[in-house]
Amino acid sequence: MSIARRIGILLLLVSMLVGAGSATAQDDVTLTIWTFGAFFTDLYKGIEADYKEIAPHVTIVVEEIPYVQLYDNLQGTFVAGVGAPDIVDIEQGVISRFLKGEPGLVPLNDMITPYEDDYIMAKTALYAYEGAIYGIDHCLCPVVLYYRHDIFADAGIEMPIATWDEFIEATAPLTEQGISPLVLDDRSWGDYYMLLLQSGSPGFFDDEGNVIVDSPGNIAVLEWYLGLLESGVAISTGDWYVTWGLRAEGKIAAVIGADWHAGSMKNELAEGAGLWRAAPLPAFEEGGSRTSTFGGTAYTITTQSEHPEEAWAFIEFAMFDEDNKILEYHINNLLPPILSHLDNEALLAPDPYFDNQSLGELFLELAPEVPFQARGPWWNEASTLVANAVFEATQGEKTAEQALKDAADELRRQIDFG
Amino acid sequence: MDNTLTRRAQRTIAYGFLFFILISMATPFVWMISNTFKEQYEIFQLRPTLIPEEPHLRNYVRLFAEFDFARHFLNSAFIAVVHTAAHLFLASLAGFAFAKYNFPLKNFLFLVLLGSMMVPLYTIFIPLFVLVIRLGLVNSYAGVIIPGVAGAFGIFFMKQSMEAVPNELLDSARIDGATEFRIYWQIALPLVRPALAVLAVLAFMTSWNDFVWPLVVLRSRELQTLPVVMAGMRNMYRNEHGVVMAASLLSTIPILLLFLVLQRQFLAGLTVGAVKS
Amino acid sequence: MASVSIGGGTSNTDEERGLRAWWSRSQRKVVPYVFISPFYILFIVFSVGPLIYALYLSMHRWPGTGSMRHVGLGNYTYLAGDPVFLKSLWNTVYYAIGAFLFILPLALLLALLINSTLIRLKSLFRIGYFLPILTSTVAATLIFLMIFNNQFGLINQGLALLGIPALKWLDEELVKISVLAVATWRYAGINVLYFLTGLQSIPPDLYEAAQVDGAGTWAQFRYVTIPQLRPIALFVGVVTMIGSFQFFAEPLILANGGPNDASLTLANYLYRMGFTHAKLGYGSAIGWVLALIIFGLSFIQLYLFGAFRKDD
Repeated sequence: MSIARRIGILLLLVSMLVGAGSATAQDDVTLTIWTFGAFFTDLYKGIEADYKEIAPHVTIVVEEIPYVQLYDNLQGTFVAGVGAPDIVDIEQGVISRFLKGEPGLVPLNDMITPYEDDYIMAKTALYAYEGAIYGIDHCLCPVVLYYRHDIFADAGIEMPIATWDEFIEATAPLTEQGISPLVLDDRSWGDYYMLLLQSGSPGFFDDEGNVIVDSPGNIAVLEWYLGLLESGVAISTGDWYVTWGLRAEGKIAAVIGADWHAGSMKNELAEGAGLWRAAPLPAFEEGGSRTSTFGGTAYTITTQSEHPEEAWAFIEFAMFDEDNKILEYHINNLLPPILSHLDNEALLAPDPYFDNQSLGELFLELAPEVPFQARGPWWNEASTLVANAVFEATQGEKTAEQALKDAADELRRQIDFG
Repeated sequence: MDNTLTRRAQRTIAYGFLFFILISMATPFVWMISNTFKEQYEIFQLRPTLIPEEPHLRNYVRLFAEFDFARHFLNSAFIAVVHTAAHLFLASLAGFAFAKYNFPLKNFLFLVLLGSMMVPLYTIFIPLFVLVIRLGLVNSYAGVIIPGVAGAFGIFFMKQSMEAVPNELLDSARIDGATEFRIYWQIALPLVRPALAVLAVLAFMTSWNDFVWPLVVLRSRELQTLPVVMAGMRNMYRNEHGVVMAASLLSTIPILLLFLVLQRQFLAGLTVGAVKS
Repeated sequence: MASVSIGGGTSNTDEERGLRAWWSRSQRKVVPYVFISPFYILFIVFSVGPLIYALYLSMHRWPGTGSMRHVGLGNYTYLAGDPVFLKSLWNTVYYAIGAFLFILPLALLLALLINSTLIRLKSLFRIGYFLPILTSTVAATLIFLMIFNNQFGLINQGLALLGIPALKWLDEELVKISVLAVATWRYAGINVLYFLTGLQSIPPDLYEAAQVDGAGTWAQFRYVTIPQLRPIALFVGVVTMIGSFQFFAEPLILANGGPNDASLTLANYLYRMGFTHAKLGYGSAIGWVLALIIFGLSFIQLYLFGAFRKDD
């Protein structure tokens, strides 16, 4: 048992003794957790027994529901006013609808405050609105450049590369060999968004909630993005499965992706073992940010929960007990957004899939640079419109500026409408 | 022109067309079967293989070991059987009433019935869902089965079949003192068995494949049906393509069997329905 | 089951005898309502109630929690100027027209061929055409992406063999046709079955009489088959109309409603508003418009087919 775990248990025991004054503390408590992925279910099953030792009166019930339906279900329980679970894993892509009206989620600001020096607070912005933080992310989800080290070495390109300009220049020989240095999506917002955050933009909104989809900075990044596609530095495949296929054939030399993408690669690109490594993203300018963030899933507590304290105690155990986070890392390469965990030996261990590189070292180095982003209740509307704008611009139907201006106008219209 | 030759040419063209369509329709299915024996990377190959390079059964093994296929298969089967049985009973009973009685408001009520088929699920989805939560039917098989159990389609269909039942038979039973329910149960129902067979296949298929409603109603893993579990195998962070294909293939078997067993009656039954419509 | 025992039991007292007499007189008036009542009870609880609540919601703006804002018909007037609503309406009409111009004629042709005396192996074709509707949409997704891919799809690989350049099946211009192709794959078979039953119910003596009158194949088709198919054609037509306007899964499977909403249906858009964007009021307004469209078109169809002319 690690020291961290011992301390964790001690803290929990203390907090339980403190709480023992109230009449309900000794009663049996059942905490229901809704989650969407087998990898989260596996985590909860893995730590359940340990938690029973710490909190014998608490029973954890995990209900795994497919992604889309979980959140439709949750919405239904909020409308109905009954039936919500205590804890929900809310994925970052669907949080915004739950920030509208009177959120059915408990603000966690007071709970996270003791950890604010250790927890990477940039990740809370995804789940925050008007000062209230509604979710604590499982993972850091830093974005790096995954690349074929053999292809880069053959072409005499030394990694890591400092800036995107240098990347474009250095990878020119690859294009001549029929290998695309990079792959970027032409019909969704994801890759554009990662690069947008890396460029220093807070995304589709500023921190006051104003629409900045058509800000000069955002337009410039999209113009640059189109430039990569037009010059052949990047290709777009239209379909994720084609991207996997081309990567397997060695026709794509690098991709940008988050920590969990390493897990996807092991699953979907198993025969690529040993061929890939990871590097910081090339910066937009010398000394600029070398990472971004993409994805994430947060622990949330619903206002319908009758046991919010117990719910937070469990989240605290799952989230801040180092052994548990290491277990979670082993299950799906989800990196803890907690500075004191990131230097754990298990995370720093060489990864055979990545040519025995220590991805953990890279992530540890980049963690403090994970950019801030502003979201709020209109983010889903924004991402839908921006996906269309990216498509229109890549198809040449509109200029980057026009596409983003139209998207921003429509977004403002939708926000006015309410 | 030689008549037999024309006929032979016609036959060749007809077979050619039928087989062309058959192959077009079967290709995705056959491809799916092939994919169940492949590793993920082979599924993604840009020049796909019809015969797997190194066929293996790992997807099936994982389906049973990791995803508890047998459990979810039984859940689906239980719901489908109960739904089918209850639907056959309620639809044939109402169909009998519409076909064999005259009563005030009959035409109006029948129009309402037709109209109910036109209400889009998504229009009422949220209110319906809230209602089911409030009634405490969420996370129960009752919540899956009850709202759709007396579907209008089945009643409409059974009405068409029941009309073919001769009135004289019913009247002579009445003279013998049989109750109306007994007339329905012992006289009318056996005569429309073919139509019931048709409706059984359609109802079983609807329930077995139902995706949207069980997905929101059933939360506990132990209760979930096959389509729900299959949907959970794909999301942004993890995809189990080979396992999904294996699950999909195995889940077609029950309906296929039912179809094969009932198909002779199936066609006879549809005929009865169509004669009188 | 109570009615069975009342009718079949033996009773001795006068009271019971009187009850029994009353029942045997009046049960034929009461029984039909009892028999049809399960449908109407469930319909009122699980459809009419929600439908009225949806109508109420459609007069408000509400994200599902907090206070509702009453806007009268504001959601409906907003619809008229909502570009994505208009786009999805057009897409849906496109799919419905495609179903009537393509899927149903194909199904009828297949049914005619299977039904003709030329063909054996009828069972093989029936089952073969029925198979796709049994395939789970989740599993079909990947297969269809691989068939329609703009660069590497099976269709484009086939076209390359014929020397035809690749077509972008999943881009704005062609994506609706690709979606229709998937819908054809999935729904042609069941319509073949419906038409087959209609064809088999045509009395053979009608054809014999036509032959005696000197009618050729075409004339028999025109003057016997078509009129005799009218009842089943009406049924298929109404079911197809209802299904087309509630079309949901295939555009999501193939292109997630895109690109640029080019394949999005009304039902998809309704779902996006009501759930993904938590605009319960606006989503309900779309839902009501959708319901009214289906209602109107179905009744026009029933009227044109003369379904209201004869009284049963």
